[in-house]
Amino acid sequence: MMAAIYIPLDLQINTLLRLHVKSLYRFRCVSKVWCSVITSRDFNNRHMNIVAYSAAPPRLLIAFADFYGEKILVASLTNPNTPSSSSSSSYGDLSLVNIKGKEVYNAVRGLICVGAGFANMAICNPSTRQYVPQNFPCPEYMFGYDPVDDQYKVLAVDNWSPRGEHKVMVLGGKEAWGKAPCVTCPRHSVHTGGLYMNGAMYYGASKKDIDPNNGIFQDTFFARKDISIIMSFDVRLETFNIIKVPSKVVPRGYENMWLPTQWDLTDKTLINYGGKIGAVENPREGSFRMWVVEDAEKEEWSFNTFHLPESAAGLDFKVMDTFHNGEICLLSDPFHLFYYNLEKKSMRSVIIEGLPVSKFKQARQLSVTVSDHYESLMFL
Amino acid sequence: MSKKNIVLKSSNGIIFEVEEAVALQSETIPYMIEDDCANDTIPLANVTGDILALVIEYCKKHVVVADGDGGGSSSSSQEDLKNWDAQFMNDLDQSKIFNLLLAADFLNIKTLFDLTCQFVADTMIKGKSVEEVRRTLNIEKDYTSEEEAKARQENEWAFK
Repeated sequence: MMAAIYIPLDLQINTLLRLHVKSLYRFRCVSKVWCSVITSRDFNNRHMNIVAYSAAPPRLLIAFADFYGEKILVASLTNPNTPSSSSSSSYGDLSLVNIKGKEVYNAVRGLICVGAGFANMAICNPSTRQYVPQNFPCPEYMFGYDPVDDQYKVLAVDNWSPRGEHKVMVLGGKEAWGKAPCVTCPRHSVHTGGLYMNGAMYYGASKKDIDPNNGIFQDTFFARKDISIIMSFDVRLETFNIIKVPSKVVPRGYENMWLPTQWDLTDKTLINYGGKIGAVENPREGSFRMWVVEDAEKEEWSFNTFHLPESAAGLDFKVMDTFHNGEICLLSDPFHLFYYNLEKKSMRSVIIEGLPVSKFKQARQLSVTVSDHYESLMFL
Repeated sequence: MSKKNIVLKSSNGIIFEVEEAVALQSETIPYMIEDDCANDTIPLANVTGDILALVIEYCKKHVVVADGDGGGSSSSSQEDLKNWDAQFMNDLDQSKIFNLLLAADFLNIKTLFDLTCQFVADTMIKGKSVEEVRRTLNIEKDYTSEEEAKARQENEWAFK
């Protein structure tokens, strides 16, 4: 007869850390002890570290609003971006969550921020299918994480208020959502979506050049030239910092770095370029430009032009994000993903089968997020 | 260059003499050497002979690669080692695996500990039912039937 071997809880926990989120949620039913261990924030963070530093590549997150703009589909799947794997993923390993909303913002550590128009936003954990809607009206949201205090925060940027007031909310904090402190910073207009990187959020913006000798005109829309900036927001300290875009960097003929004319939407996306801020232009007519902030204080930026293969020259693309392996994800019309390798300057098509994307809506009008995805256990 | 050997003694009195580099993959053994410098034999009261033999087999395999002439970290040998690890674990029964996990923890051999935890997770927990997991790991069910039903309901999606 085999004697029963007792595995101490500490070792049980170490074993559980190696399981996927879905299994862990199931095994919350094993015992009360397991349930409280698996639900704890400490276990959550250890699990995230194991997932993030394991040899297994991150999954792929695709989130988009549907044709009618009423619901958001969030899919998590194996990323077909390792060179050895085939360039397609199929419905079989697609896990799909259907939530209410109209807009998708950025994803951070397995969670994604979505908006339901002008009145609501929500944080969704696609791995646990949890969704917490919040009444937090604002036109633009950025989602970030403070690794020191282990807090997720949403920055709501008020593009329209003359006072330039922005709000911060802490996910699951002691203070209720909505009772957020106001953070003031110089008045500016937001042009790009948010990028979260190493404890800070970044977005492309512009502010009016204010001439102290001519105060009368400073608020007149046409009075002053736009100064292009990147706003950085320290998630932990909740402070803003301005990264100036040197005027020589701004493309010729542009209103500012981010807008071809003041009536256009931005044609650029901020990306994490190996820990530096990169601004990538949506490819047009077979090429695109990328600017990288090499040294923000010295205003040193580098610049490169990339050419797409001839087969893709006629397509229009929207830039999504960079993956951990340095490839940039491009989205074409109709909905189709391409991965561009900046080192090799090569591009390949990636087919995702079974993605219920609308054939009726042009991809460029869709609110879409495509990024690396680490499963999060985070209990919302 | 002469290589120093270390003598390990299992809980049931079996003696193993191994090269220092093999034994020092354990982060516990150096402390025991310091504490017990008068005696050449290091007693391991928590590890039986058959398990210690497995631990040594694992450490011997892994020390060769770490000491290899520059080729140790090449991807092919990494791949070989991974295959060897998989085979090594596959050949063991459940009680050996559990004892190996306890030994890797006690001896503090990180790679063996990670390997064993991953193996237990993949083969004994993942994909198993709640009841099977309780049985395998000897976990007492501390839920009442009502509480368990409620917990299952709350986590229903994870059972699909």
